Amino acid sequence: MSDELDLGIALADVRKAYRLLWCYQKRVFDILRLIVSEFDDRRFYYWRSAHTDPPAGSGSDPTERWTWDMLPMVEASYLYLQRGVFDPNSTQPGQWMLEVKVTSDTGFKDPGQGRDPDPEDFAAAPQSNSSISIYAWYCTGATTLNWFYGVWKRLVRPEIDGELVESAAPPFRVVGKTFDIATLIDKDAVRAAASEFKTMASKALGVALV
Amino acid sequence: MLNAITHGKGRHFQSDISAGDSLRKAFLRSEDMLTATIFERLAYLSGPVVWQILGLTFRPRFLPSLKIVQLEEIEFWPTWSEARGRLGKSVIPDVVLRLSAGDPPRSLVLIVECKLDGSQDPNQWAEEWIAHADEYPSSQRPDEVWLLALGGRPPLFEGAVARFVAEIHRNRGVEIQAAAGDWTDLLRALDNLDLSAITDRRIVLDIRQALDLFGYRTFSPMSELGRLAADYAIADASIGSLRWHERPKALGSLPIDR
Repeated sequence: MSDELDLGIALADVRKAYRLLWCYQKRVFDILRLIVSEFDDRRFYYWRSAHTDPPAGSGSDPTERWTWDMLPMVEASYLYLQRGVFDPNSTQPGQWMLEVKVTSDTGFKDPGQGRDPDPEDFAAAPQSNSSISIYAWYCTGATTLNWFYGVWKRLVRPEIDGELVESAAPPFRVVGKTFDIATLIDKDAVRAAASEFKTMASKALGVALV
Repeated sequence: MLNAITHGKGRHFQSDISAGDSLRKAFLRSEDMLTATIFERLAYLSGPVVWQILGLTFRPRFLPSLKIVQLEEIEFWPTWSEARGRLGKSVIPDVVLRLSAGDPPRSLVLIVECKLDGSQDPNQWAEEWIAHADEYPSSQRPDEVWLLALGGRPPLFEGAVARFVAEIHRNRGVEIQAAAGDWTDLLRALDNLDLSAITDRRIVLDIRQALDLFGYRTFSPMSELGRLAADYAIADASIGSLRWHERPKALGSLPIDR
């Protein structure tokens, strides 16, 4: 087969991949909205991609940056505060932030040293997973810290489901649970996952999360 | 929402709303707020768009395709008392739409009964139908009347609507015309609209947001992705074909610096 023909097939596959990604991302958004709606009075606060910077703004040259910067949903966190939290630069005991982290490819590997991760170095796609983790960031002491920069960026998340990470500064407890997206097949499954997290996190934190 | 306050005499929140609860919570528990919010916005849309939405939402499909439609009047929670003698009470339907459609124009009245968590009730439909008939002398009666049931648990399918109609005929001796739809049917109807005017698009977006607040949103299940991926059938070889160092010839015209 000629190179030109190979390339033609490959570019058709790229077009297919974009369309499939659209289908996937639309479903991820639907899952995010449904998870958040299972908690009382949540409002969107912030999002951040895990490995990359947010996509380049219109005044920035995307070719100067990682290719992955333009594919931020490969792994991203979405943060939601209670509607009553009006000042993001203040945390009060009893307030908590909901984080939903979507890891579209657990095989993603950051080579470090500022290099653009190359999929050739990733674990094989069939042997990797896609997951959604839900975390509760529970405040135990008043601070004037920003929920994103002062809390979320400074603390590490627990690596094990149900394990509590307790921090004195900032005064927070974090607990989470990870679900394989392959099991979140429909609305009922997503609702069940949110409910399972709520029960587990409430028990770990010793407070009823609603 | 405005009409739930100004026209809805006696409309009230459920008793589980207490001092200090958020407006959002109060709003979300109220069938009346949902009804008013949706229908107030429908009334801002042009007649043909309202016609299209109603036609797509309710089953059986009772509205013919028409381009000339005018929403003459919309009434929220009117009190109909003329049939008090027969029914023993006044009747208050949720929304009444009066339309003029077609050329030559025909008058059409749509009596809308909305439910959030409660069930649609054939007795209530019959009372609204009878109360409407008694409220207007024959000279003022429209060419056509339909009772539209929106929402309710469980959702009513066409068969259930036909059973309700038959039950009303049997028990009350009146022949009614009815159609039903769920709030999710309304959402789907909004998805299938062909809107050219930016003002209509803004209003429809607002209606979608209101439905979203009440949990009525479209959801594409992840389970469909397997079929979609199989349809796309992306080949592993394509990744190799697009790597610069593996296919320099095919990409020779592009600047390659590594």
